[in-house]
Amino acid sequence: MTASELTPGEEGKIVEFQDEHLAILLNELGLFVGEVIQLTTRAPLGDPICIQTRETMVSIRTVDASQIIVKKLA
Amino acid sequence: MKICLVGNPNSGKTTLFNLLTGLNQKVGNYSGVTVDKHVGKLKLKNGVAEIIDLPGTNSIYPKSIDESIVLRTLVNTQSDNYPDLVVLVMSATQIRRSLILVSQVIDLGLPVIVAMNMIDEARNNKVNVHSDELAKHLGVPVCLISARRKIGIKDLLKLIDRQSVGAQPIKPNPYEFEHGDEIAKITGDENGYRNLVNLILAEQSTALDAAKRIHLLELRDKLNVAPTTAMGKDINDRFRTTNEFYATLEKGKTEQVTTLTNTQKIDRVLTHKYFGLPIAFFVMYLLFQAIFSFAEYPMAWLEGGFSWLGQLITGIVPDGMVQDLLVNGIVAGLSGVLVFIPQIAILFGLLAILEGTGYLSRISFMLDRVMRKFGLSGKSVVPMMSGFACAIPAVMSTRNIKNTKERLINIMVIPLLSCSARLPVYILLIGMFIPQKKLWGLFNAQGLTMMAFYLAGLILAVLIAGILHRILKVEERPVFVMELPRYRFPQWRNVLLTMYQKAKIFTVEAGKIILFISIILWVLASYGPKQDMQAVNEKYEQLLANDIEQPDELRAYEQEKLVNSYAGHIGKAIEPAIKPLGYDWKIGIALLTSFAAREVFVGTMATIYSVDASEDDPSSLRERLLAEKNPTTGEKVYSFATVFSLLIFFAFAMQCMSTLAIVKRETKSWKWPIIQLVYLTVLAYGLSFIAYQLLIRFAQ
Repeated sequence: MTASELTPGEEGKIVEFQDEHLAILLNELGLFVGEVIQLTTRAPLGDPICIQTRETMVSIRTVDASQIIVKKLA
Repeated sequence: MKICLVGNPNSGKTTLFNLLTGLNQKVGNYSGVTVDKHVGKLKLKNGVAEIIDLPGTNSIYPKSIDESIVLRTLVNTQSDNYPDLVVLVMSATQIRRSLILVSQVIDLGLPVIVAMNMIDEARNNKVNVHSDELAKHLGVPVCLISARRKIGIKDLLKLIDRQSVGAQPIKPNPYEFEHGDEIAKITGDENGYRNLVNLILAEQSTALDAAKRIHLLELRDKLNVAPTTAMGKDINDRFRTTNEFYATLEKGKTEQVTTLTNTQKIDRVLTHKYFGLPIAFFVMYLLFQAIFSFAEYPMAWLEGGFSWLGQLITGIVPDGMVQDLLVNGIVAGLSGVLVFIPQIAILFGLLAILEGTGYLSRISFMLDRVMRKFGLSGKSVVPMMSGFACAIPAVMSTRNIKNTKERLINIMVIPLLSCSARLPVYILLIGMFIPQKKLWGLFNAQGLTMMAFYLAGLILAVLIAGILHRILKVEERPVFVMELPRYRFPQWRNVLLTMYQKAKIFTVEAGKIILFISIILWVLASYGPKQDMQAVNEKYEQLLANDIEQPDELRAYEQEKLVNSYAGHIGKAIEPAIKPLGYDWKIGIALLTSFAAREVFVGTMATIYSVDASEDDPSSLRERLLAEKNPTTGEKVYSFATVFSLLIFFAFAMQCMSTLAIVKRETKSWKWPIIQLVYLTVLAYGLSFIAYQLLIRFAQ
């Protein structure tokens, strides 16, 4: 599944970035393959979404978040 | 000695800079780019150091023009700003992520002191930062500080002092990688990491000459190095190293994401599904109100002060050209510049508070979806909204937009939004054909008409933004990933310094241009061909010699003077061009003089028609205009079609030299303000033409 398919409150472990350019941007904000992310909230209009790692909160559009493959954590 | 402050955005770098330098700082330029250079002075034991606050960046690989300054400065040992010491500011609450940039700068072979900021927050959150181990791991001194609480600043200064006398040579580990020798052969540089960065970014390297860059590009092709992949690998390697380092320190301890921080608790309300947007609109309404109405009082004081100064000069300096130049040229011009300062200071003060608390990025987060439809992002919300109050601070506030193309689109369309200077013109003109009555017992008819013009401006701005989005080609990939910083209390020192700096930038850099144009406009309106002016002066000679107050006569004199001035002649000369819009030469004069600022239109019309009227109460002027008849046809000059066409012209034309001056400053070239002036004039002319021609054919 992708990060955009998480529901608010759910966590997932990043498996892969499908866009190399986006990967670098997210890497620099602390989102790496193997890191756990949580979708904390969606913007009131449903898009973008807010993703959180242990250090950072990031706003990302759904279209970009769907390039992040995650493994949902129970 | 040169010191550079380097750090991630939101690391508190600027707070530290402001703390270290206070008012001993100024805003300058980096050559060739539209990025402000913040330089300050820092007193050290052996002399004064120059300290530069470099733009915030997450890594040495730039994603925007701001960030490329960091690359240019730190990777090019020949650059003007190449530092003797780098103070790396990192947030103690975001260590892992910050260490990407920190380790990159260390590997560039620069002497580094790490200032681990926000140590108070980290301690409150019970984060163990392991600073001693980290210092050993990195091989550079690590100093724990809180720029906000002024913790550890003395220790930091001591470290800087020690470095300034060269007591502690810092030797970073040599950076080694595959094919490093081959690159070194081309560049002649012994620093391995600098070589790697130059290889990856060979196209934009300022450190190497063209021949070396071509060799590097050839080598990059031969070795099959894809820049993006190589950057990704570099960053990932650094993160892995950091993680391994912390893993050995925190055996078995796993951190979870799910701890509910204060920031998350606040976000639950402020970005709430139903309450989030109303709260955002309320905050923006307050911001808009503040620029629109709070600024009115200081603006009135400034205007009052300048008119007092004008009277004072009139009293001291004898009548004549010098007095006229001083009072109506220079003092009036200065007043025209300084009157914008309240709006600029208020907007930037409030923006600095919103930004300092972290709420500004939430507004962008919540409204991104709306702006996206027009090729913009959430970051455009505040500049566009501010444009309704005044285009000048709005254009200045586009600096928060890192994407060059989006920023340019904003700058180009902001003048279409109806600013407060259009109000007096709208009030005068709308009152001429819309009666003062209530519609359906609820809405004021004049108010509704005015709202329609505001809306028309917004719609056109958005449409043109969409068009520009398609035409403008910029070599920068749009980036809409944005960090949402933690909520914090705003830093009053930062707020006040921002207000001061923005006001100063406007006054000094745009002020020169505005004053220059003011004086030209003054010359045009007060001088004319010799024989014409002489005739006027002779006619009123007696009046001028007399000291008795004769307001009607004096107004008649002013009127004849303006009509016979160069401005009057130009107005007559352009009459054929504006006739298809329904305007006569008198309106032509007012169009010319109101280029200084839109509200001048009202004053000029009052002079032309020799009426005693002010911006606040134009009713006598309105009556006079409505009574005006065409001497040959006997028809009303100010027909509905003419007034409507004039309204459209004022809604869309670039009738504001101050905006042009600030656009020149913000884009650092005359290209964009000229394009803007041309396109807006063509647009306003075209729409007024269509409106007038349709109205005279079908509406009468």
